[in-house]
Amino acid sequence: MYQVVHSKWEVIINRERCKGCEICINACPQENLSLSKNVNSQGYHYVEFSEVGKKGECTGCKICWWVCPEYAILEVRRIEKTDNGS
Amino acid sequence: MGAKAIAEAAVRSGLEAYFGYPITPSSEIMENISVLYGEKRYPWFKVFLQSASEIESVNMLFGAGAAGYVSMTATSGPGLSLMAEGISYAYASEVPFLIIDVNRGGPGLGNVAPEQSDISFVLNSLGHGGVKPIVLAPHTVQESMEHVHKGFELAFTYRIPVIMLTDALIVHMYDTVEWEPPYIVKPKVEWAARGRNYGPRHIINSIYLDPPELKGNKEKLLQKQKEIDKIAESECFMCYDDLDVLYIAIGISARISKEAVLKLRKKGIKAGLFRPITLSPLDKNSILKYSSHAEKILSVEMNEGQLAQEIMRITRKDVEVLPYLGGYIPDVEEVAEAWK
Amino acid sequence: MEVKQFSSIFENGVTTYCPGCEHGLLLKFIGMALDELGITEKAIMVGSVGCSTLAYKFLNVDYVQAPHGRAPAIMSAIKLLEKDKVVFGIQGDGDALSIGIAELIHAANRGIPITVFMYNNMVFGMTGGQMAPTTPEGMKTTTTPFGRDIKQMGPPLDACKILSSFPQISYLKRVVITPKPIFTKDRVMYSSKEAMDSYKAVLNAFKTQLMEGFSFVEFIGTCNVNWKMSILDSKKYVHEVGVKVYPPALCRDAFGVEKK
Repeated sequence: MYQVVHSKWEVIINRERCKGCEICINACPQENLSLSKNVNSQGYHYVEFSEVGKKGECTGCKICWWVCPEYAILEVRRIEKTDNGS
Repeated sequence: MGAKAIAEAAVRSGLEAYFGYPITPSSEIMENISVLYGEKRYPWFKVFLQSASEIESVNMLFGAGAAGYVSMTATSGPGLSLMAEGISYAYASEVPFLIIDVNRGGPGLGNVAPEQSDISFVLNSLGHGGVKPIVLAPHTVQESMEHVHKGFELAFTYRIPVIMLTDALIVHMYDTVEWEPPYIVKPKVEWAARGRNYGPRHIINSIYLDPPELKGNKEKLLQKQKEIDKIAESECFMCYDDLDVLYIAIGISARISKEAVLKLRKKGIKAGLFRPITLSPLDKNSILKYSSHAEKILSVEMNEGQLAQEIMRITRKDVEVLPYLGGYIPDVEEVAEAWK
Repeated sequence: MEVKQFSSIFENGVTTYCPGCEHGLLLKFIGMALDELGITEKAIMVGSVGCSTLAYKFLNVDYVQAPHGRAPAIMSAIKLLEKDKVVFGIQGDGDALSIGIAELIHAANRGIPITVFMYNNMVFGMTGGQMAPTTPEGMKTTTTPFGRDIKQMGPPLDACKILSSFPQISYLKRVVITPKPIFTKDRVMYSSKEAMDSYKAVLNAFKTQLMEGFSFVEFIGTCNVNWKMSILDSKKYVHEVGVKVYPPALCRDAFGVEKK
């Protein structure tokens, strides 16, 4: 019996604050962030997060959080999923 | 000296912060306050600071007022011109403080002799955007002491800048006074910006970008102005009956005119003196009442007739002016003679 | 799972800045620093005139709106009367160095323990991109359509050079807040080092105030809208031209807060 802990990361985004400046999209090394087709109530296309980017999964480096000038990226946090192997 | 009396009255009434910049003829007030700073008798007197300009003074008053402290400064015409910006902001953000304007000769650098030429400026145009502070006009040293005390109370009751309009003569005059200023009754300053302290935040603000918001704020200020109108105060000296002549004067010219009125009364001429104690709000009812029974209205002032204009606007009657320009002081004989 | 919130930043507060402007980054760092040091409840913010005026819609602290350029005078008065509170202000380069330089210099010379954050974007931002005292040579603005002429207007004002001559300043620093663009083979990336350094500077400025010292931090940032550049070009401009005119430096650290 063994346990595998998959560490995954997620980026929490406040859509209403986002102004679509795309700094975080460029900053993300794994390209996990992209611009949504929808707009928020201010009329800006907001940023969306996907767990798997063009270059792999989110590594939790928090660069997007540091460079976001609008505090639209609220938090980069770990989600732990536990698999019970047999 | 008037300046010493004003300084004593201010500190005993509960002055917490003084910020000032030297300007003749108001510097004596600052000097007299500076010696009282640090005395153990006045533990509430926290800050005395000489600022780098009148602009800095008025903004320091703004800061002290925004934090809910009793503050004042003394200045003269050229300094008051510089302070107009800060007064406008303070009026819009409802910040209380007291400014003593020791009127000197103007315009420009003028001279340092007494004049009353700031009346129109203080009443009608003290800052951009329509500003109407409370204006007090004492005519003796004793009354200037009382007005300092009253000015603090009015400023905090109505959250408004208060101007005490006096002149170089009263501030430099030696006079007997008999008054022990009590500590002021200061309302609670729950609105003051002293940190949130686990409660709601306090905002001292004058920017309202949306027209409906600004309209709301202006209406609030106008509503307050209606309340302030009720405190209008005036004195009518020897106004018993139908008058041959009604003198109108403030400050030192009022004091001289009183002598002239007494002189005329001895001769049997029915003379009286109307003296606004609060210049803004002006006591409209009283001036209408007394002027309606007067043959002639004569304004004695040390300028070209600024007070007369204000009175004419209310009474819609002709007001003659006896002007004293450039620092000359009204002469009792001359004032009495002018009744014809 | 609940998202961690800062008590000094409104949950629904939206900054009033143009997309890509680092002024919002500065507000975010101020909010974070207030929270980290636990001084939100005793903080008083003094706003100046310019883009920083509307900061009160974002930061949930006591707020006093100062006239144009006069924030240091108001901060000084509040701090002298409320000694145990934390008083800080955000000023722009036009506000602090053009109209309000006298107030800034005298507050700094007195060494009253206040904190001034100056966001230097080298133009007047809110009025629509006119020349500021900090505009670099040759930069085109709406009032210098052929570029700033140094012979007529003089060289750009250097706040840190001016202030470093005052002995009573305890913390004086200039940082670049603009993320540096990094050009890789296939795309552009941004570094987070500048943002991290800026946050440290904000934190140290507040620490200095808590140790009874005057602190001043200048942030070199962009104004892409008024520079009439794309977000990327404006960031490039700061790191190519801006840092040469305004090299980041620690000019004074009297209490040694940098090392701790």
